Amino acid sequence: MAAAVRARDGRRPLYKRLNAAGVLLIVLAVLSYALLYLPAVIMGVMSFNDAQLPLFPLEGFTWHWYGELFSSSEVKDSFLNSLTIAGATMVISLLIGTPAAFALVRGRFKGRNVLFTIVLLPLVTPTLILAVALLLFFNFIGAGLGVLQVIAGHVLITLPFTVLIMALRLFGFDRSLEEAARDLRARPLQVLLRVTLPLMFPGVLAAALFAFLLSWDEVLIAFFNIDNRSTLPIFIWTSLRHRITLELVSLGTLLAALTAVLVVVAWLTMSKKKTAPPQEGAE
Amino acid sequence: MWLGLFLLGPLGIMFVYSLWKTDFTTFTIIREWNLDAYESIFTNSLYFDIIAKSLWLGAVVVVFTVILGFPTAYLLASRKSNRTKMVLLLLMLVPFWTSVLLRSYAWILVLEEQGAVNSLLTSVGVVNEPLSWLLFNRFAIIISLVQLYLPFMVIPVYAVLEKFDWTLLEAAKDLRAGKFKAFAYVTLPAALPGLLIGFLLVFIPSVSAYITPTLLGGTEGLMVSGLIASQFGTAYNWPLGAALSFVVVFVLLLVVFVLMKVVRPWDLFERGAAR
Repeated sequence: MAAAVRARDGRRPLYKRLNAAGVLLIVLAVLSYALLYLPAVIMGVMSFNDAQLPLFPLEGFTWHWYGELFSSSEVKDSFLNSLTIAGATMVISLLIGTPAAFALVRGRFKGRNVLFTIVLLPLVTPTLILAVALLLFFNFIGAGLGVLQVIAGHVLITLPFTVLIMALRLFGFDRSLEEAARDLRARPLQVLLRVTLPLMFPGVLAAALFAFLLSWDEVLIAFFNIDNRSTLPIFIWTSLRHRITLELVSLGTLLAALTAVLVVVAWLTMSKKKTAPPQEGAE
Repeated sequence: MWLGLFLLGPLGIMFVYSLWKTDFTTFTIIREWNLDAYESIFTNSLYFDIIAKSLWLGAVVVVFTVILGFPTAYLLASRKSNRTKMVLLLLMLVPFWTSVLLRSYAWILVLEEQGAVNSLLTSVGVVNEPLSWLLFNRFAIIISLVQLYLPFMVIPVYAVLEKFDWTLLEAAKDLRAGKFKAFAYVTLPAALPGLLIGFLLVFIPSVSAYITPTLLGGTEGLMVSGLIASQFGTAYNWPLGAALSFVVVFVLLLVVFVLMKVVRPWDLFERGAAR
């Protein structure tokens, strides 16, 4: 039998078979990651540029443009609107999505596959088309433009993710824990609140984060359906139509950094929770 | 008790979806029913061209995401060390969650005439004048869309390869299969579901991309979504916009439907129960 180093499941470390194909693999992979991060890195670098226009070569280091952001009332207003909308979207999406996930995973009713398909529908529909569709719809029913409409639209696009994440979590759920609780004569509601939901908590967190972030960054549905207010993405989008400014560059860097931090934090929390053994009741 | 939950869920979904049952009726502004809008799409070559162009660009983007993404996913899945995997995965996820808007307009800084690339090239002396063909054309659209949707290809392929039984390659080697054959007959079929899902997740948004081509495409940046958007803006032809949207959705659903026949997500879902 071959004596090469091998993991139990047959994986081989790459360096053991480094040939033309292996090198190509690595090159392409490195290129991929580089491509992914290039624009963001450049944007980050540019945001400190001590100049009037976002052009190379750089002219000096300054925090000035970040300062501009904090003093701009437009930015502040947009920020608050985005926050409200994203927060509302997150809550509503969870409230609708969780029971739906339960229904999909544990239900035995006729239309189940149909429901599943319907839930996934917003995923395959282009966002712009959803945006204008909502515009038409709201116009038709006489609701017009506004923040509530935007929230409704955002819930629409976040629902597939919420349901999927919760369903996935539910799927791998150990029902014997619930049965044990029932054997101990807990009422169904108690079982739900003190066993099921607490154990689903990582899923809830993930779904909440996803929904929030998705709504936070969303520009098209917001743009087409909002009244004269604005969200952060709308602000960026409309400003960009004129020209790109260093203020925007700083804002972009800030937002991107924020997202990165959130993702990393969520990731680390998620990994920890996975390896922790399931405890009785709440964490 | 469970019945209550089962009722809530579907009802909730139904409610939100009534929002989605938007009225794509072909009504004129005077509210007469007619099919004028659809007619004009099929007869007017301009609209047809734009739809075709969008589909073509979508396909090109997919090709590049596969070329870059498949090796990445493969590399990721074939790592022995869990830590390396987690780190690399994390690095792939961060751009995935970053806003489309941000990732798009950052490209302006890279590709503009006084942007990063040109600045580097001129200072090193490779070219005498900055290249103007980097931005505001199809090249920019393609490269930015590839960057944007690369994670959408990598992650599904990785997810599938992650479950791959590497010992099968061992078996293939024992049966005297050459490396290429082993790859083509063992690895590739296993990765296929992931590739198909990746295809969908990249193709659909690319074809219907709006933000990116508008920001970076310049005069060549008009894709089908831009056309639709302008119907609700300056062109003010809502019926046409609606009709175009329906055509696009129909074409995309067709693609999805065909591919769903090959890969069945809900079967995969249930097969997971056996693990």
